[in-house]
Amino acid sequence: MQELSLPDISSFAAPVYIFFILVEIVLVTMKRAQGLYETRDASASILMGAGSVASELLFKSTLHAGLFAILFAAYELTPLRLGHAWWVFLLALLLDDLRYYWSHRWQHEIRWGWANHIVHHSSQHYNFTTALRQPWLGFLNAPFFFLRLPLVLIGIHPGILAFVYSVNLFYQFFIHTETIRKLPPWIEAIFNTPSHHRVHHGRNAKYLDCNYAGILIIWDKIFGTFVAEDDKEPARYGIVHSIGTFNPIRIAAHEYIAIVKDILRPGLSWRQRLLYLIGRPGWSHDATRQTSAQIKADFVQRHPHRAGEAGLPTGREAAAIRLTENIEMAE
Amino acid sequence: MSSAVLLYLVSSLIAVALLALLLHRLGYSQEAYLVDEAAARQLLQTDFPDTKIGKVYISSDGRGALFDIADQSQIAALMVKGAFWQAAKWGKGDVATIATNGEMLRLTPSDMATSPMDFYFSSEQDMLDWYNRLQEYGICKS
Repeated sequence: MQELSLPDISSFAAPVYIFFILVEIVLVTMKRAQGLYETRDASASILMGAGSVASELLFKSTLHAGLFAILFAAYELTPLRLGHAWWVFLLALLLDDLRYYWSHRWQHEIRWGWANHIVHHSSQHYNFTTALRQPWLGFLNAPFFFLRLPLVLIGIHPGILAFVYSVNLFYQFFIHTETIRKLPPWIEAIFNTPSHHRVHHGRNAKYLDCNYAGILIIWDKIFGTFVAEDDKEPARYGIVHSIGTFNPIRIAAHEYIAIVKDILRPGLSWRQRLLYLIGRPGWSHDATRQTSAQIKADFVQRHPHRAGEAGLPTGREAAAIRLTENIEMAE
Repeated sequence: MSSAVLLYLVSSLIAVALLALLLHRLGYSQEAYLVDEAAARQLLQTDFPDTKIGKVYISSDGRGALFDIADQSQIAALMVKGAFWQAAKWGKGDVATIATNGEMLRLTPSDMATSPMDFYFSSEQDMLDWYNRLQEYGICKS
């Protein structure tokens, strides 16, 4: 196999992140830009980031090495080789961004994935430190790692995939800010921007479950999950029901604990237990909680004049969602 | 644990401490404060729009509020979380323990996402009213 030596972006990213956090704090403090900081929230976010990297370092030679070994084995099996030309890096960046879109989307739509990703959404603030609020138990999301397999099987070297993913994450740090409102229209049309990603972090009904993009927003436009930022409706950040803690251990583990508690409830069928694990976040056997779709349907019922807006169902779709909910209840 | 991981963790903790100190000195540690019942109701209804709120009690330190949701035998709570608020609705068994201390009620939710919270009452009688309500709705596990 040909040797491949690529720079590790994460080795120089930390000072860059700290520099931009300081710049943002100065701009916000001097009222030169929009934004909001809170000592404990920002500290918790950065601690989550540091813990996430520490957890990766701890598992680097075990779990991560094992996962990559599987990718390398697949690379050995495939007769295809795309090599290391510059266009392969571009192609890998593009395809891995598509892979990221689906991985990210499923982490919002499957509770087991959400238990990990909820950490990133758990702040009610939106600033550069929010980008660093990352899970400590990322290894529990290993199944999502294998979405890279098709890219390896078409001949992209796993090392290139690791590199372009680090580029993707580095890019995403810079979209976690309120200091930049809108970029030129052509950039907003193609790339994921602070404006698009603010929407993704919003917990307003119309902003739930949309804009999953990493670098290119075109994936959301193609797969029907794009919602533009509405200046009349600023995003309220965080999760539907905010967590009440800055304790990093609680932030990292609370949803996993909740899943275990739900699964172990007495009197449930196996199907119900399974749905508590891999159903949509917010699903419950007794309809005491709401999924994003149900929240949107309820919102439309209360505000019928907004039915069919981007991010909201039409009146008919909302009625269908509510009907499904009633049928499930009757079962 | 390898020395690289240890070094990384120690330097990260120092960086976080320095940044926290900077933010604190810049005045970013101020917490939100509940001014009146109307504000409390509005905040709760942002998270739980259809809730029919009965009696409301604002903690005398302005850092939280309790709401009686009598038609559902539930209690809702609003708790300060830095510059923002956390809203929660509790039904049967959602609170692991309730402790009282003079005019203070300490609630520890069963949910791991919420740290224990203290509510201060202006009189012991008010505190007991809410304590009894929590017991009556079966909200406390113990």
